Amino acid sequence: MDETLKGGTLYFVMAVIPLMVLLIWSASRIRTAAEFYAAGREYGGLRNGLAITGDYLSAASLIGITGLILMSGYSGLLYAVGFFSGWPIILILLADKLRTIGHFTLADVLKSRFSDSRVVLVATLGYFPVVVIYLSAQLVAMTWLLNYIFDVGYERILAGITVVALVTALTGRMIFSSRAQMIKAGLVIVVMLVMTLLAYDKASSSLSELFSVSYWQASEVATGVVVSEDSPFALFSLGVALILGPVGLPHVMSRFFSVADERRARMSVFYATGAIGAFYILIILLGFLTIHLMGQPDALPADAGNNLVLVELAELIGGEFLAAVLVAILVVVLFSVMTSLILTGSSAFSHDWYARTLNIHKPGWSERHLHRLASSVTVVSSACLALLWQTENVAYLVGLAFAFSASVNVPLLLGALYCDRLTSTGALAGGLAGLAATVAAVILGPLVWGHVSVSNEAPFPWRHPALFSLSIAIVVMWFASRWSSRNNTEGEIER
Amino acid sequence: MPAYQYSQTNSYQKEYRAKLLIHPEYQRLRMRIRQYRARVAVVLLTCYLSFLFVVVSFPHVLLQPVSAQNPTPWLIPVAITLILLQFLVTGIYVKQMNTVFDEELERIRQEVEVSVDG
Repeated sequence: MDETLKGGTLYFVMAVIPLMVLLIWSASRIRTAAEFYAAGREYGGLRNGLAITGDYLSAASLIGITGLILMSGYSGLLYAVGFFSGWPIILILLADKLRTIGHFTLADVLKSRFSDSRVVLVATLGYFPVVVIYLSAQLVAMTWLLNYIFDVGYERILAGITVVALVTALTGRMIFSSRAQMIKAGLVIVVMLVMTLLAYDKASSSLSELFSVSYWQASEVATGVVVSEDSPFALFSLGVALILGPVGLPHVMSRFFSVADERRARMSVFYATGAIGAFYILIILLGFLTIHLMGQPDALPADAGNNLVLVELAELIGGEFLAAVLVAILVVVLFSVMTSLILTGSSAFSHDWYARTLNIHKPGWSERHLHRLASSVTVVSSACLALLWQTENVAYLVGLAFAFSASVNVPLLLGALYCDRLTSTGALAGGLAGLAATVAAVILGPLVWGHVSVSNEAPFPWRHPALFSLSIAIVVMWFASRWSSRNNTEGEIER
Repeated sequence: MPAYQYSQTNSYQKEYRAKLLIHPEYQRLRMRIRQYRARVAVVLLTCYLSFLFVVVSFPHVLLQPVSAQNPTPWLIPVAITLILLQFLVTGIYVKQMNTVFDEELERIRQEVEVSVDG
């Protein structure tokens, strides 16, 4: 065991150093959100589309979904299709609309539409759980991957990563440029392609034969315990969260807002849709190849929350060399997602809300300090959640982050754009209600209650709260708007 | 960026916008765009939601094998087709918006610009 570990570690170090250097070299040193928006306007559709792809394709969903497909062919597939299907919807519902109005962030839209600036604060608060949970998914993924290589225990590695993330947050350095994101998107897709081809080669059977085996196993798992773990309503709720969620991811949306005109915005979503679609088709194929090659899930270490299935597969088909290189690439990708999340997430707070909405003109320092504070709080909270949720599947955690964004920021944004009768009070009350409902559902649900309490019975049964909390947000928005008269000073959003 | 947004003074822009907004052809075009967008959105949402509905409510339906010779469950081709279909619809939408509608919009804009100048 020791011998193999040393070899793997060596390969890992040999692969991770040049990748890191490549990524850092390719990144221009952008420190603030303003610089980032300025840089984004120069890029054309294809470039921006690939950069969006790089932002969106987190390695977390890659390793999470393959694990889920192995465990329960069915819901894993649901994740793959759902993560993709959000893209066309974004294009139709938002791309043109936002570009015609000419706003760049969610805060800009809300500010021009509602007279009450507290609405922006609610949206900012809504970003917080999205960023924290999304980040915790990256941390869980990264910790398991590094633990696979170094094997010194989950907690120690998590602590190490947290320190690195804190340093990143405090110095404000980030690996964040369109070039770096494009390299990242390329790396992930090439890795997927190579893995799929190698796995197919290893399976060395015709497609029909291959799926015939996976069919029996998939149906066995899917019809048994795994599907019944989530009720149909909970699964439907997951499906709703998955298509609405991307709208609330700050690091994806800000890149999308920063293109120069509508044409390019549309083209970049189009290219992003193509690349992301190809990625998820590969995931589906790879997932079922995994079932074929690795058979029943009980052969795997259960404690990793099925997060290491892809790595185990790599070891099976290409030995420890392939596994180590795969881990190296995934870790680098995760690291870059982590830095961009920390930056955009906390700048939603310090820049969009504090500096621009409150209009506080203290040159520089207070905004910067607030930014550091916000990013440190984000990192520490994510690390705590990553400790609590170490056995959860990371694709599921990403889905949970989407549930928050679908119940707070999505109703706010869509309401502001499409619903004339929505008042400030309505938006304020609805946003807060959506936030409170999701938080309550998560804390009382299996995810927190189930982990902390002795009895595993959680008061709120669903693992996917979006349908519940989104309905509450919409109902509260509607009632509050009816009972409050619309303020005359409120801006109209032109159609 | 079209030149009219930057090259002119504020009052010119106001007049221009006012004329554009009441221009009957412009209004008709905006209506057409809105209807087109709604139609595409309905198509996309129907595809996804019906897939979701079947997966969630009747999990066994899509696990039926494609044929006796080829026991691949329907789930896999259906999921992949769904992704390809959505990509296709996105492509059609982008093409329609970027060529047909954008050109008409540009034509109307130029018309209005000329009439404001004159």
